[in-house]
Amino acid sequence: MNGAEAWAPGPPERTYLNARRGVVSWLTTRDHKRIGLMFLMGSLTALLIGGAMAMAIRLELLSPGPSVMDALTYNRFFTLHGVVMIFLFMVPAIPSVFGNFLLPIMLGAKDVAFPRLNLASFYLYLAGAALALWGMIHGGADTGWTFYAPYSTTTPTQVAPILLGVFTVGMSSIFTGLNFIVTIHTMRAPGLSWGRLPLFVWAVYGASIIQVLATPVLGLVLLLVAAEHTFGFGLFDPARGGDPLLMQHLFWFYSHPTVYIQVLPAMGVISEVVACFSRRPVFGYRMVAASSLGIALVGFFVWGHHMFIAGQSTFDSGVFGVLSMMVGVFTAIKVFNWVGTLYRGAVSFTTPFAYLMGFLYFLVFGGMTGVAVATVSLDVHWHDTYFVVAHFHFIMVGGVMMAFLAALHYWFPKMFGRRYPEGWGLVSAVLIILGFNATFVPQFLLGNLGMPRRYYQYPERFEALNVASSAGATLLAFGFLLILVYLLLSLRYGEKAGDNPWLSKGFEWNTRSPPPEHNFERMPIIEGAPHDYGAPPEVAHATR
Amino acid sequence: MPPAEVRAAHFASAEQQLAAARMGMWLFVASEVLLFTGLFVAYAAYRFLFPETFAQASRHLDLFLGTLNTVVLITSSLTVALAVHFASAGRSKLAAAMLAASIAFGVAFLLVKAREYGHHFETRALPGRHYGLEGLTLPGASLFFTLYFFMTGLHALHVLVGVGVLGWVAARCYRGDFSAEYHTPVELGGMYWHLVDLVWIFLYPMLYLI
Amino acid sequence: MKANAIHRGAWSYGAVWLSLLGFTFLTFFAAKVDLGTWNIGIALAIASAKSALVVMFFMHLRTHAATNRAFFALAVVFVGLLASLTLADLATRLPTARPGHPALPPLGAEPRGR
Repeated sequence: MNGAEAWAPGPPERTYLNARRGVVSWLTTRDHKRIGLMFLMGSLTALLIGGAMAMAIRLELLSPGPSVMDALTYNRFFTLHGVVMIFLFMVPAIPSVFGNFLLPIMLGAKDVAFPRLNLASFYLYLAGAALALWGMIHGGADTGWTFYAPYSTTTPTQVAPILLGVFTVGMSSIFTGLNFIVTIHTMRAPGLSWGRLPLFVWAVYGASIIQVLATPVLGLVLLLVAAEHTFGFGLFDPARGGDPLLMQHLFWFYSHPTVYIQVLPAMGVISEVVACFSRRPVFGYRMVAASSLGIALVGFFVWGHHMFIAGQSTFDSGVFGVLSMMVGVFTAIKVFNWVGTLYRGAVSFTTPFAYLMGFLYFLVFGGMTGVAVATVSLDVHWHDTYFVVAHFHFIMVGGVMMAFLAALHYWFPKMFGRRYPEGWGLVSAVLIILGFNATFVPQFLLGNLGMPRRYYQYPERFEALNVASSAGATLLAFGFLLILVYLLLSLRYGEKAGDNPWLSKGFEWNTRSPPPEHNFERMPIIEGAPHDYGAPPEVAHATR
Repeated sequence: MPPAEVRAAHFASAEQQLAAARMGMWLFVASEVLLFTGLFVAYAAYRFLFPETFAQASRHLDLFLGTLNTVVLITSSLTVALAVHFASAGRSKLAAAMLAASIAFGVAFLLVKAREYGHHFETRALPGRHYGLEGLTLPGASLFFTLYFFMTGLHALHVLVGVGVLGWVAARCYRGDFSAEYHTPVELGGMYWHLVDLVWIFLYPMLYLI
Repeated sequence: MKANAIHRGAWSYGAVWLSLLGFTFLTFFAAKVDLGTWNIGIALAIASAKSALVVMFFMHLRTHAATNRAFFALAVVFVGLLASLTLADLATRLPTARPGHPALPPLGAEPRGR
């Protein structure tokens, strides 16, 4: 990563990457940028593992009967896929990686408020991930990532270490969120009022509130399940008067808002990308900022929509169904404003922009099917089928993953001072968006035909659509590998980017790329809103 | 003597650092509140389903010891509050003494709790499949004791951590690390202890006074 | 700080402590009186009053930044949210889907083997 010297004509620039050397300087760093990079490595590893699991699942589902693995292995694989992707990749992906790297720079601060806590947060993540992965190798779990009682409390597989691992990762998430909230409140540069905060910061703020307030409930319920499995405490055991639905209530009180821990920062990324690549500040800044907080808040009122057919009361189902649709309102506010930003913008079609288009498409379709499954009567048909699987993959992979990739490309020059090959970037973006559609559109159809999720075998009439889905997954995997290859190569051989290759007016570009060790040579004073491009002639040109 | 470096380099001022530290602690407190909320909700659900069982099970707890512990913990909160008060007046030695008293109260609390636990083990008033209390076979009885042990156990764990935190702060106080201008660790450690008290304030009527 | 001010401050903490003790005995004796469903309401109201004293005076939320009050209030709101919607489910659920319903096979306190 220190290839900069080879190109630099004069003495090498002092950046956060080469200011200190050696592995120990990384492992003991309190620099938010280095911690962000370590999170990036961690979550990319998780993505690789989770992706390999997904490919194994799709391989098994290529044919109706048993093929490459037995049923228990299949159950383990989809559990691991869910646990790894959600807790080890999705939750830290944008907040812990890009939030860490960019938040202090966007705020004009030298670091987050609690740098040591930040490092501790990384090690908690690492420890939790190690524990969970150890549990997966050592017996695994076959419960699905939701760990529903009473199955999770009686299964012979090893759920306890995985639960404790996720608990530890949750602590990491709480500390990251806490750190970010305090940083946003107390570390803003002079002149950076709340009304000038970059929208990415607003989005991360909303997500952080969820992280701090919801994660402890998940932690508790995981402890309860682990204790029940290991010591027979029987809190959710129907034979002792326990209510398994109570476990689901506590679980989803976190695990629904956790979707917004993932999606909100993704929306923040999109707000930055859309402004930069249409050369306009985001249309309706206030509404977009406020809707981030709105989603964070309303996201807490909807958890029961996961339990429509689980035996929850019809009264609660009605309440949760109606409240769930409100999330659609806030999301629509954002979508309309992004589209409003694009309209008459001077659009440049780069790789991040391609992912932005993908994001909008997936979010709109995933969101609309979300409103559909929030309707109790329809959900009775779709619940626990591939329709729901496709729906949340549209939001979580289609939405969050697109934003993650947009962020990775948009801020790659910021982080490493190098450019990636734009042509290959666009090729892989097309591959991924096509592959993604090919994977999950058939799953919508399968679910609507009644194919249940998590089943090991299926009737032969579902074979064609399953083959299509597996083929799409292959395309998707190929796209990801392509990205991995060219980004790794670009680290060393990429064209030098200069300080601001996109000519972006986002606040994070106020400093050099890659930034110096303490972010700024001179502490900035903020004098305007982010992405203030004025009215350059190209814009006037593009309108007619 | 205030230490040479009380302000970390990335903060612009000591006020900013104090504000950040306090806000961080409040967010942590909020997070802890939600952690216990999960248990409170489970308690509410099962008490709603099995009101009579919970009332009878509660009578198998030692009301005197529970009340005693409430008084002990409230008093320890007073001594902690006084410690912060004296630390902010620059009276570090007095603050350290107050913290030492709080630690003593905390340990006393744990000893009383251990005695109660011992009794529960004798009578097999235990959670889940270990339950075997004579004279209470109503449905849901084992749930009460699962909740009881989980709530008081998690709380006792927090007391234990709190004792450690107060010990560390007391030692630094005694060594003279703090001054009227800078005593943030005393304040934050104190807030943690009050949180422990806060949880018990709810556990006491929920478990002992049904 | 003047010695007088220090003493006055210390005594005000003493007053908070005395009120906490008073509330403890109040809740103790209130529980002895059978008021039906009011008992739990009274116990929770007293506990809330006690915690308000601890939070406001011992933890100084009263004088800390308003943002911190907002965070704490938000936490309390979420406590209420989780409790109310979960209990609403139990209260309005189909009775036979509720643990302990008489129509279901009887529950013993003794665990059943599995």
